[in-house]
Amino acid sequence: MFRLFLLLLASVSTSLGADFINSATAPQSVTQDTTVSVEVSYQASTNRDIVVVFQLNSSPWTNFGFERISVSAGSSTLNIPLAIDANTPIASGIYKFVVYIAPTSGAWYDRLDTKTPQNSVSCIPALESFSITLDGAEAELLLQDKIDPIEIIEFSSDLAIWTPVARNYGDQWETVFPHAYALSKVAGSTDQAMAMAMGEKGFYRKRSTSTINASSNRELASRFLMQASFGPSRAEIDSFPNINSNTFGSEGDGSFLNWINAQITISPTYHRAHWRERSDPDYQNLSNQTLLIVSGGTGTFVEGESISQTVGNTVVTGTISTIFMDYPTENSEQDPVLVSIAVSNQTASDGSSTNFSATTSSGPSNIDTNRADGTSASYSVYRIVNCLPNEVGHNSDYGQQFSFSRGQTVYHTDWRNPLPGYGGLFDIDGDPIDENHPDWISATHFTNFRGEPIPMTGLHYDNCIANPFYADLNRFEISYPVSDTRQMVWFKAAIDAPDQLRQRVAWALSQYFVVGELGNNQSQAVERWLNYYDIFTRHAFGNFRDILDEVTWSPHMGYYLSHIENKKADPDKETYPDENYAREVMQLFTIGLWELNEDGTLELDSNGDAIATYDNDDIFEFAKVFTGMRRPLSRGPNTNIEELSNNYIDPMRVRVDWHDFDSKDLLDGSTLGPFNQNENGVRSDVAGLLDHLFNHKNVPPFFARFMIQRFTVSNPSPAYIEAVALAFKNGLYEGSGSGSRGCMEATIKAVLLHPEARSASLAYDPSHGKLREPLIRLIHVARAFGLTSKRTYGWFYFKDLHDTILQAPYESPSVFNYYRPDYAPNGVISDAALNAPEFQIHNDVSALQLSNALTTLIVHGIAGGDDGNIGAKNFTDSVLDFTYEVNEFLPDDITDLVDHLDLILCAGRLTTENRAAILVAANHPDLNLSGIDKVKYLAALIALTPEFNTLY
Amino acid sequence: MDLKKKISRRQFIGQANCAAVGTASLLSSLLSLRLTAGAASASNFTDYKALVCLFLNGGNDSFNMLVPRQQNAYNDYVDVRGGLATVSNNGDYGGGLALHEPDPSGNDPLALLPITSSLQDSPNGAGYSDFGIHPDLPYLKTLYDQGDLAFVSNVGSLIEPTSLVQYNDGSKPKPEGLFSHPDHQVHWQTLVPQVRGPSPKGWGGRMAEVMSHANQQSNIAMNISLSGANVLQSGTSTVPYMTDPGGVVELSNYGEDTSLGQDPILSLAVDDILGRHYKSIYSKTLAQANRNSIETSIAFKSALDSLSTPFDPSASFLNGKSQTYKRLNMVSKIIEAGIDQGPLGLKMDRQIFFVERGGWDHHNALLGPQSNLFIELNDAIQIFWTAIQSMGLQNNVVLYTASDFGRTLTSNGSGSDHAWGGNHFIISGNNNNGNGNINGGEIYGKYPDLALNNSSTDLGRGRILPTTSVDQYMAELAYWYGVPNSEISTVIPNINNFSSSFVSANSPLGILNS
Repeated sequence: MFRLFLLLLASVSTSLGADFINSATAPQSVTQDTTVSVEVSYQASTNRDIVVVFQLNSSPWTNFGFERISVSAGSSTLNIPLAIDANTPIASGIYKFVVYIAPTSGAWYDRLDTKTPQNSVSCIPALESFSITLDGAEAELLLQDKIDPIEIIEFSSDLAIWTPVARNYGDQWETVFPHAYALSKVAGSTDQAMAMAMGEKGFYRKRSTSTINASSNRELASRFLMQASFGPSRAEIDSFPNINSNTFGSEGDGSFLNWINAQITISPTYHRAHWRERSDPDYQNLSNQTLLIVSGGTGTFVEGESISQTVGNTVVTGTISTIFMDYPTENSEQDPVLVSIAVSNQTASDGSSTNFSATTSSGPSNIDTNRADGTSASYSVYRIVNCLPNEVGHNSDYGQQFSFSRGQTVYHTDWRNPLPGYGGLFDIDGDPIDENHPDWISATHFTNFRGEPIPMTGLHYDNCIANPFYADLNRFEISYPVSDTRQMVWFKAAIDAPDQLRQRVAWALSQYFVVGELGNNQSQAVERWLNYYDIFTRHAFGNFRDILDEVTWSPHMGYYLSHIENKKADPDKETYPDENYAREVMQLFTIGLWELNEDGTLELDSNGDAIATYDNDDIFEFAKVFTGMRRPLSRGPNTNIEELSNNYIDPMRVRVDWHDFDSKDLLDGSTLGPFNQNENGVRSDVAGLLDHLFNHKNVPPFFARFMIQRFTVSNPSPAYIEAVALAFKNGLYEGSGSGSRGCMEATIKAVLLHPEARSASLAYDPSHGKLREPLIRLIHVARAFGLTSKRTYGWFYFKDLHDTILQAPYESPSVFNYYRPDYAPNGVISDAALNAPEFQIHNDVSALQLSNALTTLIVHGIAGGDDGNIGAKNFTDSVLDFTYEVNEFLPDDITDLVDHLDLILCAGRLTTENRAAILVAANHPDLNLSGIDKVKYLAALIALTPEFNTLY
Repeated sequence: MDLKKKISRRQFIGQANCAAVGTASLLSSLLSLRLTAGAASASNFTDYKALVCLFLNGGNDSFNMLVPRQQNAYNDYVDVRGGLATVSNNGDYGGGLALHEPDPSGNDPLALLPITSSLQDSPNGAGYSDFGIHPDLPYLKTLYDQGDLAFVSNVGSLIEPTSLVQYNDGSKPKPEGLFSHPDHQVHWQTLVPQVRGPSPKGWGGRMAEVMSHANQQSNIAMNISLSGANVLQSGTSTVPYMTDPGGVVELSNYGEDTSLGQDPILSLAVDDILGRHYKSIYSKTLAQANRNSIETSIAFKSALDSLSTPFDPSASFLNGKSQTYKRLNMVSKIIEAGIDQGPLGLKMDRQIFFVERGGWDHHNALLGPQSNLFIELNDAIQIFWTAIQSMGLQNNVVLYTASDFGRTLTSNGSGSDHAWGGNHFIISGNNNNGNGNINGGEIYGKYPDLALNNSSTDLGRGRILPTTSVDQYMAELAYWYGVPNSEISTVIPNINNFSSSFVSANSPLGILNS
């Protein structure tokens, strides 16, 4: 009171018409996670803001409570409520309250007067904290049925850092990482008991809230689409199943499931097919066809074909049953040569027992036969390719839209340098463009950084759209390296493909079975990357085992993890099988490092120790399995695929004599093999090990945690992991799915439909949610406002994102993906022993690069900026469409505009304070923006908020 | 299954919580900040020192970087590497992995560059003095011959000194996750190889914390990364400032000066939004990180702009240069700004830099790709060290290499696999006249016997058991940097397991003059 008196005395000297804090009173101590009241007596000359801050009383002056209210001219005394953060460190005397008056939305340095009602404030633990010391005894904490929508038990060892250990947001308690104590039912009641480990000392407290902000149907749908697609748009939200229903999002409502089911039925957008249809005009559709590939010789043998041979005067006929080949050298570029054929069902023209001669001879030239059609085949080398089921051919309607390589030659998009006999110029509707039309200009307007003209043959302009450099242009093309085509296909699919869920699942899987550009050969290639990626597109709702199989046999992966051309040990040469794939297939693709329980918690042995899943001896052993897998043969001179030097499209083939046929000791002590020393034996060996790993109990929880982290939350509870793991294991989620272990459809449904993904009340749990992937944040903005390309063929060319936002398709820096699942940034996340993978690529540079890229995208489209460069410099490549926003809300409905932007960018999660801050900017008298510029300004500002960048 | 590696549940929980129960709590770091703030004027640093880590991510096959030339040892080398390498006129490699003996004519692109080491020519060393450096590292040979560079041989992560017998009978604890990339990378950076994962935090971060009385005049972190997030520089309460060779990135339009195109309305909203306190740990971390990035970028940019030759990422001499070249060039500019105690300088006493180069995981082709990377390193180190020398700072700067692990001596055909012990180098100003920093022109540690199945260090297929621990190597740097003896085990927790072999009290290997 004495202090208050002095302050009042000080205010006597104030004069009317000025702005003052006359007095302020605040408590000497506060309690974590409570609201205190600060009494402020002020005088304002006009509309002003009163700001109350609770902060450290020394550098770095961190705020642990902040409130800003607007007042009108006059003087008054207010009781301003101020929320004290739940994690304010417990300490004595290190905080202070500050109250100041400032111009509307003015900053600290604009303040007109300041008071510090308390300068040495303490923070004490929350009153409901209860201390339990467990000293050598097992103890249980009784978790009673909850009353509030969400209740959380938190643990602290030092009263400073509180970590959630259990929570209840529905009808039962669950434990959460990293503690994950066991729960048990209490007999005779619906309460539960949580066992706490012996020997741990610390404190527990319960937090709860009775007020959970209700979300509208559209907000719920928008939040779901942020998880399940590359981002919501107004149209997607409006067309969401059941969106206007009263029961939307309530228990038993099937709207989200219906959306998933509808997505699954959409025919897949295959990246490779998309590219082939628009690329080399000579690509043919050979789906499911058997392709005979010939190399050398004057004829061919085909298994199953009838052949004949004249032996003396007798003509012997038969059917080729097997063709044996050999490899003349170890040079992997050499094709094999025919050694012999086996002929079955032989019959001699004279009824004698005369047989084919020389069918097992040592050299191809000794085989001399006649085929059924009378032609002769002296010898040949051949193989048969069973073409991939998703192989498609070029579509003449699309022309030559992509640049591509054929052998060593690069053919450009047909507006530049079409393949002779093909191509021509098409506009965005696919109509031919007349190069002699006066609208068509042969451009030398643009120069590169050396001042040389950029080799563009044409700029097509018709209806004018604003462009910062050539206001009368609406089409132009910028040359791009062929290798960037794969990203352009990816951007097209992410932004425009209707099968959004499939594309998101494929994107997640591509971060699990990683092949990155760094360390890969022939980074200029395109088709092999798309072909590999389509393993995930194709099996997104299929089976994990099929994915594992295709990945393992893919020459693209074979090169990346170096099991291609891998040979069994050669004691004479001191060479050993490469261990790379054997290691990573366990560590990353199947079982992980530690034995897990079904709920993802560590399995412990009788000593309480975690158990490693494998050791280096196992790696050494399994490396023997991945031997004898060879680069596929070229499809031949008239290849039907992109072969820059070799075929990396078809699965690897087998070379029997390179394979180690010894039996292998498996992880469970059983033995794999030995198998027959032939091709089938090699395939059985590989399949046997993959089955062994696939059936390991770790795979369901290990993969479940990964998928949950990619879609919904960074720190799933054991219950959530277990639900997803069970869906994977049983192949069923609430009745849907294949019923087979590894069912992706069931797994995805469990990830997206589990209460932990859907419950809005979990927003109260500070550890719930995740930082969104930077690439998805960027694509979200593109989708939210219908990014439209200004290129002739509609491609989106985001450039060098891996250098700026540290994430771009096909650009993972290593097989360990862009980030580790267990990455924890310093600060509250690390202190609580929680994870946030995406923060690994959120650094001082990339954080601002992404913010700048989002601003550039919103304001200019895909354009080059000084920072956060997302497009070619000095060109606007694609633009967002804000027509709806301008027409619907401007000039007057600023509040509705902000709420609309909040809905599609943040799922309506903008906090009251940040919404107010956005509105302050929007209504600022100095903001001289109107129309579309104002919409862009506000959208860009919202993209800077944590609510847009995170998901919870 | 009994042989599987284990960690105890207690240890796991301990790891999970160590940040919370140790010095890590926000509270204690705030208190120490306050404490040091009062002592700001009492900085007792009269010198400037910078440590530059060049991390060769992927596992450099360093037994082809430093090769024995004594005849028997060379013969063993050739045998274990599968014979002599060949290279055709069009650059295709064949044969084994072994480099050739020196070629006086200079025509053989695979011929080693000869050096000698008197330290190795002793019973505690290899027993001979003749060695060779990879042909694509001529600048390293120049520095070595001038005394500005020292090699350290057969270094790897260890918990205690471990013999082959002890390794095999399990009587000494082994690092977790032997021979795996992420494990070994993290071990090099935490120096706590008995724990899997980054939770023990990086030794560079710990060093920044025990040296918190340094850099009192600056708001820039002691640790600066040119290669993004890393474990090395993350302490319990400190994180590195990350920048890139393209220069300082600032938030577009942020600032008060409308004449520069800055937008005060946006700035106010950003301050408001990012300065707020968030419940969600993700929102909170994001807001704090972005606010720090904005503030630091402003200070950093003004310092680099005020250099006598302002940093220009588009300078013509950088055209077409490698990422390592650009990064090390940027480091030299930051050192120039860091040592500047003037009003616009960064006013640093101590700095630690992290530069990473990936692409060393040469499973199926060693010779060609490694040659390309060595050419890049050689070029980049030359531009860097020349800049340091021209500023007269060669005794104020130490550059050292780190890498996941050495690789198997035996091959997979044309590449090599993950192994353990490997060779490294340190560069600083020579002590030839007794007033410099590094006792260079020497190979420290013990160069191993490369014969397969040799009795003392081969774990099978030429995986070499390290004879010098990463701790000894890093302690050499930490002592030089100024970590007091009382804090050395905070920075390098296992160091006392190796102290019996120290050459001198504050120079475990005898390389640097602290």
